[in-house]
Amino acid sequence: MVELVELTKRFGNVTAVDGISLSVRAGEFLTLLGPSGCGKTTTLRMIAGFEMPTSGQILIDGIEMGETPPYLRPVNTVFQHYALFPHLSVYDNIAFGLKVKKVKPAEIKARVSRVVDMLGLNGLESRRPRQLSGGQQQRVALARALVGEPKVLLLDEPLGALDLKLRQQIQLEIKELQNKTGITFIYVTHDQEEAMTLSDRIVVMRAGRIEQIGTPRQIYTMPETRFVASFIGEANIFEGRAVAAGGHSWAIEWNGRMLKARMPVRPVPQGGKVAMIVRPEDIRLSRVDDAEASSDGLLVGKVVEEIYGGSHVRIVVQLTNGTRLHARISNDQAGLYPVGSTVSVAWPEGSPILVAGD
Amino acid sequence: MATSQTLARESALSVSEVKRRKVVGAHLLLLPAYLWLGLFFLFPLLIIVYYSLTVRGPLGASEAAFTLEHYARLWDPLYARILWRSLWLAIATTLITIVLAYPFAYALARAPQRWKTSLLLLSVIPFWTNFLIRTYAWMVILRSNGLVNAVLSSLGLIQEPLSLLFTPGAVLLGLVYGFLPFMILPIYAAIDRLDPSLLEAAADLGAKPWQTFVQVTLPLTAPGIAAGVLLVFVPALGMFVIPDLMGGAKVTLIGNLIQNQFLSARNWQFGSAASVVLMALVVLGLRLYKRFFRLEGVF
Ligand SMILES: Nc1ncnc2c1ncn2[C@@H]1O[C@H](COP(=O)(O)OP(=O)(O)OP(=O)(O)O)[C@@H](O)[C@H]1O
Ligand SMILES: [Mg+2]
Repeated sequence: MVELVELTKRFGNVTAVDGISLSVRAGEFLTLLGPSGCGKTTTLRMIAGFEMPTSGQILIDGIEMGETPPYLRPVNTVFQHYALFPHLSVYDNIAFGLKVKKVKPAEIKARVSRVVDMLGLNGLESRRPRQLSGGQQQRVALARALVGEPKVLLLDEPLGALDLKLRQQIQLEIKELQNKTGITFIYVTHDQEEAMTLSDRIVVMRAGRIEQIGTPRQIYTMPETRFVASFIGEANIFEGRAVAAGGHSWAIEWNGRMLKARMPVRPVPQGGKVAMIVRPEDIRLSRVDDAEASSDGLLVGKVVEEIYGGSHVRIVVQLTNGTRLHARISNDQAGLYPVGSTVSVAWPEGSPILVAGD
Repeated sequence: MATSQTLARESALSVSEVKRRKVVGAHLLLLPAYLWLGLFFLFPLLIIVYYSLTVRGPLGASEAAFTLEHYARLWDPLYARILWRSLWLAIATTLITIVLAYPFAYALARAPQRWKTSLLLLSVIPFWTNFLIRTYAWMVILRSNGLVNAVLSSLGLIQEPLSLLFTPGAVLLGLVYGFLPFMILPIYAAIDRLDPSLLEAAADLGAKPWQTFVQVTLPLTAPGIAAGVLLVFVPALGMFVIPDLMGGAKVTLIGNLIQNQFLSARNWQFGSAASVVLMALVVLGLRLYKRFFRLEGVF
């Protein structure tokens, strides 16, 4: 549905987007995820036609966009701060696109009332935007963008200005809307949880380039780079040299011991610098006494912090060589590992992820 | 039951009493402002009204006798013509300044940041020169042996010098020139404040550039135009320097009439009556204007 080919955008000597290629399928919910300044907004604005690419191509529904102005592109945008017209009522805001495209009045009425129903805006039609709450404004912005039935809907951090509860609620609504309408969504966020919840696929960006594209599960369980591994979810990182142990098993040499890991998704050089990632929820703790602690095979440390997190508890363990690890244990195990106690640290054999060391 | 009702009534009374005291307090705080207004605005105004309603004595002083003769005199077609001419010149000035100022203000507001300051400076620099001098400069340009005629005749386009000065057109030119910055600045401020993402939203929804202009830019910058209209129309209506210099004796406006009555004819009573009518016209115009454009909060 949307095809980006070697897309590049430079502002003066700043390269905001650096040759990204990407293919968005029809009906897909695709999220651009990355830290601030990585070029998400710029990419979206080029698709919408607000910025012209320095080089590269954008194809929408097979048609090369070139210099096509925004008002002729079959896409609509939901802006971060909504950009609702302050001088128009909710109804006229939603109807704006249909009116300028000279749709028949009867049809305008029918289509507006359909999206008004869909987004639960009944009764607010005659209000001005400033008489609405943030969540209502958000819904009007969605309604305004959806009523024209675009091929692609672009959303730039549409929930950035809302509080957590409302954000979660509208996330669900957005997902439902997308299922119902079948419109292709390209969504920008720097909130990884939001990206996980909503997306069919996530594009992780960094400094204008794509780090990895994949389903939320792939991105989380099979990160290809150290950046992706540490940006998505939490990560305990062990740095060492890669050792191929034959077959699918790999290991890293870390502090004079061998730690087993999964085969890396992206090949790493034998003996090269690598990072091994262990997710906090994969870490298993058990209390050990001094005799066991001195035995060679175990990774042992002292609990230095216990942080209550509602549904879970975070335990910070300091290993004998000074490395700090975070473990995430469920609530009912709280109190089993008091601060100061000696624990051994382990994880399921297949869980550690190996990535190039950067 | 009864007691609780009386209590309720008493407390209601005391609430309104508190409110009343608060209002009195607020008025006390405003006392300096009232004094200032009274001394510099209301008092002179009352004097003018008094003059306009009293009989002119043999030496020009007012005698304490009520009359409407000065107002009646304004009905004379001669003066009605002056009023009418003042009105249309002020309206024309306002309309022309809007048409000239809007594109300029638009370009200014959309100019690259580093040019903005200098361009804005250029448009207000004329303020720093004396107004009279700038008007005399126009006279030098327009008079029969002035710049325009010199250029035209040296090109052989005209045989006889055109009479450009001392025409209503010259007065209009002078008014437009003099008031243009007062229209540019509020419009510039309004356009500059306009959120560019609204224009992008309009384009995104399929509006062509002119549709965006008519349906988004113009309505959202209308308060700037409204403010400019006030700043131009009201003083243009009472202006006397420009018509005096550039219109000569031929293009008298109501401002000149008032000035003449006070200074040359020394008929303060008639001059006062003309002033009161001018003020009434302005107030009436503002009321209609406000009603017509539904401009809450602009003034
Ligand atoms: N109009 C512009 N002029 C100059 N530089 C720009 C412009 N727009 C963006 N940039 C630069 O391009 C880079 C990418 O910006 P962009 O807005 O795309 O980031 P982003 O990923 O959307 O970040 P955020 O999450 O903070 O919104 C940044 O370094 C930014 O400073
Ligand atoms: Mg952004």
